[in-house]
Amino acid sequence: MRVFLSHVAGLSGLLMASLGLSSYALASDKPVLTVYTYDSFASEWGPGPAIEKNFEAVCDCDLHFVGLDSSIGILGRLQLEGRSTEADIALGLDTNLTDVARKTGLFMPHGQTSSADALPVPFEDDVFMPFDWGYFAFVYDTSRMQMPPRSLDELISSDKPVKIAIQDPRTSTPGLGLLLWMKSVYGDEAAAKWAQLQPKILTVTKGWWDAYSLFLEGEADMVLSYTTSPAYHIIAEGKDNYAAAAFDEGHYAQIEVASIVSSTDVPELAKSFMAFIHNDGFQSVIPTTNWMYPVTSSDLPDGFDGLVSPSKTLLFSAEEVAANQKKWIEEWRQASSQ
Amino acid sequence: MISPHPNLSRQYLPLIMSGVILAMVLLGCVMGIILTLLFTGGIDVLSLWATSDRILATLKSAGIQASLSAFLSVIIGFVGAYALYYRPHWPGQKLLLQLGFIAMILPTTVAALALTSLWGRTGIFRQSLEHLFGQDILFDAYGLEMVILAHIFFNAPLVMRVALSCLQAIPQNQLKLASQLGFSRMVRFQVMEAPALLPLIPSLLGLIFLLCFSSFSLVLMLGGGPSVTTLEVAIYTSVRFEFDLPTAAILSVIQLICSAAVILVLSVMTSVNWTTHIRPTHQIIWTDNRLAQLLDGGVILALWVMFAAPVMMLVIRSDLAAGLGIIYSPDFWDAAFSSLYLGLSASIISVCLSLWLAAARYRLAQRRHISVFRHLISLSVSVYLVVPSIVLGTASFIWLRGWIDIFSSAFWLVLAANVAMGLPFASRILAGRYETLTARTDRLCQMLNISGLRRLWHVTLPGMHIELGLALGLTAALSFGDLGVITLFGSDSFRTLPLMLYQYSARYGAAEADILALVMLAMALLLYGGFTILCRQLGRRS
Repeated sequence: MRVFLSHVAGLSGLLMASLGLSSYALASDKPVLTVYTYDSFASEWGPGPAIEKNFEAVCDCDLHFVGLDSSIGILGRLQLEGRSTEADIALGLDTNLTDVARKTGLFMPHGQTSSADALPVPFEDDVFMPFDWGYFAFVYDTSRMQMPPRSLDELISSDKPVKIAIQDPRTSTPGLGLLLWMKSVYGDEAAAKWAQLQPKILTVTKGWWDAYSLFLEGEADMVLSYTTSPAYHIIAEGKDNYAAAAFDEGHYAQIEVASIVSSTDVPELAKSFMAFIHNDGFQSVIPTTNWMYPVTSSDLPDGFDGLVSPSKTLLFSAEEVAANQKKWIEEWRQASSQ
Repeated sequence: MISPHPNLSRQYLPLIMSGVILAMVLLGCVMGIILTLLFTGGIDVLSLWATSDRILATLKSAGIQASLSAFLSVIIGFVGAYALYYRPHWPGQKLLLQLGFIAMILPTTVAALALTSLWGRTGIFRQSLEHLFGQDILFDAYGLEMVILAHIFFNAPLVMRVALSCLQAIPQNQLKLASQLGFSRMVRFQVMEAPALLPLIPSLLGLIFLLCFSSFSLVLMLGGGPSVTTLEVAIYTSVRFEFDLPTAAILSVIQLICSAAVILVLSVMTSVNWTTHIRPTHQIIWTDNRLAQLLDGGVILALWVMFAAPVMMLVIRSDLAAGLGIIYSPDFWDAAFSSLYLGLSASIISVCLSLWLAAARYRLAQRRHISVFRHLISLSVSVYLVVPSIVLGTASFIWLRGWIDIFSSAFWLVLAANVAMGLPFASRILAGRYETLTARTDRLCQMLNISGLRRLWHVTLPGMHIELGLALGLTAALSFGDLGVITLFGSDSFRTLPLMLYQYSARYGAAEADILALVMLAMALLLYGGFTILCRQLGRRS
């Protein structure tokens, strides 16, 4: 027993010592710019590594991406952390949320002039800087599904046993995008349409990556993603059996934005990063890593030319979203709970 | 009143005082939690009104789910125990019973992944049924049915153990009599077995209802959207998704009231001992017809499919070559060490606290006129049964937010939640044994003049080696595999294996998730087995 107890005591000592060690961070001379973003952006397959390399070549700093598990989660995390946050930049909200985000008082003006000239609709904001854009769409595997629905209405009302994976509008910008897509097409009838769609929803995931993985593993027949997603399979994988379904009602657009967190300790560095967003070192990386359209005009790689181009662009103003977000999400939650 | 041994009592004054203070601190934390929650959300009646629809929907969803889970777990557990009771000599029976114990320490994330590998859209059951019938005829791959299935997976084996030990406790003379009178199986069931099992039903139902009603990780992983939810999940979404702290506080208060109500009802019923040991009995071999044998065989086969197949499937399906890459990731090692630290520290701390409180409580028992303190100590432990870890996490977050950086102190918060979770378990296992052992050795120790730490070292701890091993092993495995508070405070700088598995199972790759699940299963078993065996060996040697 004594042997045992001395082991326990030794182990606890070791434990405390290593805890102390693990909280000791290696200090570096260069200033660190911490960017909160969503997981797929920061991952080794996303734009994160290339942008880090390109920016560090010009900034003499240490760019550090932190990948959170969902896009709207970035805002939630910043609210939870308050002023003690380490984040200097939040990257990955979209124009639907700019008004909501502005009202939290967590962000400050970037002070840069935007050179975004390739957006689907004009967007100018002193706090939020657009970094890429795309259209939401349901993506399917042509080898498994020959006759995809041709409209949102067909998806909702058809009696085919289709299973779709979507994202939660409370955590994920694509999820919120679908909510607004439905709202812009159906208006007051949206709740009834959600209830009708309910049996086709395999699951509601927290972030885009979760849903897309379910689709790729064959769990879901269709997934809410972007018209540009098939380009990934064409260019990176050489597969042409993935396509986005073009819907007659038009497609909801998304412009993703970045912003400076006002509690940042390196405001000048953060501003230079905001300016860098519209440089080639950022924009040229976007199409083949985040699989979205860049915000400055440039030649797109092959594989982007055959993509669905929507007949109509749908987009609410940030003010409309801010005024109705809570109400509409509650409507969705109730319709999905029936 | 004069104590029988005045010297003896005075000697224990520091122990008693410190024990009472500790108990007050523990109770103070709970009071702090409740007050924090009330001040944040409960007082604002308007906001309660605004969210009442949502609260009702959540209560309804959780209530239906928990009732079905409890009902089905009890039925399946009883049927299983009944079949096992009649076929004690069939091969593999002991292993099947051991599964019931594994269910206690199996991390929920691992189980969720294992169940998906069987019943999910690409799972083997669904695929083969789809081949047979040409279309998917099973229940939805995510949703109510999957959550209930997972809850049955965890609770039915425990019901089975409890029920079997009850059946085996039927006195030998009754069995002999029944055999002499030539009772048929039907009659035996009516006069002996059913009366043995019936008294268990209310407390089993109540306990499993409570567990499933406040279920978190399984609902999060398998629920598939807002339609299947519990208060725990709603609290988590309020905090993490919507940053709506008042709503989270209201939901937490309602959760506290609900679990307190169930616990109160349970406390007046016969209590159920989950950790019962199944005694091998020399029972009468009944001569049965083929049909009965066939039925028992069918039930036992179904039990195997239900409880063993998911874990086996995980082993078979796992693609070592593709998934093993995860061990090269530093994140994996960070998470593994964090989890191990958490498991070990939480178990050691909760066992120490339990022993301390048990000792103080025992010494107080000798002074009857201050029994209020004794109740205080008992309450300080059992109150943590009522506080689910998500509620604890949410409240401490609201409480400490202004003072400390929550995300960088995440380890300590998760550790505190795990200690609180382990405390009732450890106390339950240790307190009884401590009291009988101490009562038995009091006089002897007094004669030999052994007291204080020397007594603890040479007499008490060696005398409790089996219970210590069980308590350490169980609490270590539980904390190691817990996916609760960590979902609120986890970040890329502090992650545990359960959180990592939760994230991997949703993303990145299935191969890595499978490997992660197997590693976690092995480590949970190792922690449990390691502590129980180590303590048993050391106890035997000393």
